[in-house]
Amino acid sequence: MSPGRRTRQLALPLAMVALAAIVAGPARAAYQATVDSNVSAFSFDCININDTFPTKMLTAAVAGYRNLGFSTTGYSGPAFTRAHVLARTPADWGYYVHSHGDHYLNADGKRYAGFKEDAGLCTGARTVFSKEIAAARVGRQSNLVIMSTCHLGETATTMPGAFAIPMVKAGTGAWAGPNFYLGYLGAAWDSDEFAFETRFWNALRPGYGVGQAFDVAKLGSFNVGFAANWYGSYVWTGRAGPLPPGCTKCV
Amino acid sequence: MNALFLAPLGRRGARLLVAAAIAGAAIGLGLPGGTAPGDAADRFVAGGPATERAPLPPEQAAQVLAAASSSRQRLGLPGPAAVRVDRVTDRFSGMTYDEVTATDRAGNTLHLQRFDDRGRLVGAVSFGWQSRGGRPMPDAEAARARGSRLAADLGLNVSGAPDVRQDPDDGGWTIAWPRVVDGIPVLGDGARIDLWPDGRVHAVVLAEKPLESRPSSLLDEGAARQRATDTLGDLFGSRAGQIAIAAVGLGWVAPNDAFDPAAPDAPGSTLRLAWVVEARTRGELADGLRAVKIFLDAGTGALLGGDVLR
Repeated sequence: MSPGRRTRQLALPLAMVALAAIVAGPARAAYQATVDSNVSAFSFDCININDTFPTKMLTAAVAGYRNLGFSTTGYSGPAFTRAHVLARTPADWGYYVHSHGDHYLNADGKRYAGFKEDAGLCTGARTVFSKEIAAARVGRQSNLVIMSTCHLGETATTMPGAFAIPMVKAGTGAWAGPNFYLGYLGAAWDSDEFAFETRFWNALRPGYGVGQAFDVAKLGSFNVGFAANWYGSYVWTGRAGPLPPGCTKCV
Repeated sequence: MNALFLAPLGRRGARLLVAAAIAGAAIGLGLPGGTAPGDAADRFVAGGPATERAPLPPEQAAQVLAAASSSRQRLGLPGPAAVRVDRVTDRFSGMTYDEVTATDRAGNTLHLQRFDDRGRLVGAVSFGWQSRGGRPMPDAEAARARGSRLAADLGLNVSGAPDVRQDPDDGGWTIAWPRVVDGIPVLGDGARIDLWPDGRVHAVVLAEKPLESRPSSLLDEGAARQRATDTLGDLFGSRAGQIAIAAVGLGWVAPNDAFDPAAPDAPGSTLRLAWVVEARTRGELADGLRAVKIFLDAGTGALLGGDVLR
């Protein structure tokens, strides 16, 4: 291996360490959010080129959660492992992941929604199953969960339940608590997920709930067949934490 | 010190480090992304705002509001208690449009409509989850007929049979007309109407980006396939045996930074003619990557960008 290639391989992990260290910065609130993005499988670490989408989506999600008042840290590369996800999830009010997702067969013989860790691996990454997240969280409330993967927005997904988000669509005049789950149907290209999420984060502003931001995010150009889905409370603001006393919906 | 450090990283590695450090610093400091409005270097940066809003002069606002009132009735949207109109500069799409937002007496946002610089309706959405209403449309054919009537009424200038899809959780129907120019698909462009189960309008989108001139001469498909094979071999190196070309075709595409961290974060706003090559993975590579698309300039074969399916 040439020195140039070896150092090029170091570029992305170094950049991620720098990013994570800076992003860790001063916390705005006590409500933790974790943002994970799988960068390694399609980077200089494994092939001859870097896919830029995962890094951009990590940056956008960290900014998005922080704007909503979450104490947010982004992870990728060797720092984004199955063990890391399961260790942090009990304290997460917000969780975002961009990775390979599917309904995977578990050792118990059943299929569960899940996604692949990064762990700095080119192949052989382990699956994080919804079953494991549910066991770690033991029904603890969450706020905003985004599965930026293929398939995990489908009606068969078991992921919302792992975060105690009911699989209902509570629209105007209804309420499922201060929570919202976002995922995609079928196989979704990175460019579509990036465009959708860019518009979603951008639309979250005073007067717009997460459901409205979801609807605004759909007003864009996408590949044929791209589709996103949601569960939770349409009118919720997306702000971190439980609702303040006396506040029922806080639109 | 810097020179010694950066030289062995190579240009791409160095650019990546600098870009990530700048993005990280901006997030850490809570700075908005992008640059000040009016700045010549004004461009979208991932993590920063995608749009800027400004008020419209009264006479222009009056024209937009008149158009919105007319299309609101055709869309079947409820009458508002108040409306607001903004000129929106969308850094991500490279478009500018006028957005009319309607609210009820309690100040709740009811719906919005967008109009381009030609006064065409390019976007509309009725907010709220409204899956329950009148009698549901019975099937895809009924949804197609309803969508086609609406498209004609709204002047969306669509042609051909639309793609019709039923949304999950009683979400209604999506009727889409992908844009095709001289037989060549325009990726991402077209018209789309989202209907609630009973046929009421949920959303309308019209995307029609400008097209660059066609190259004076085109690579033929065989040459494009060979160029794609070479490019995939270069990208995937020793793992190129785990990826194979599944489809090759001409398409109008937005150049992007998929494989070039130094390129702008947003896709190009003017589309270029390209050979679009989709390759599917197998074996270990498929554990983390389902497919990849590469866009090759139809004239020169240069890599214009691409996409990734994880």
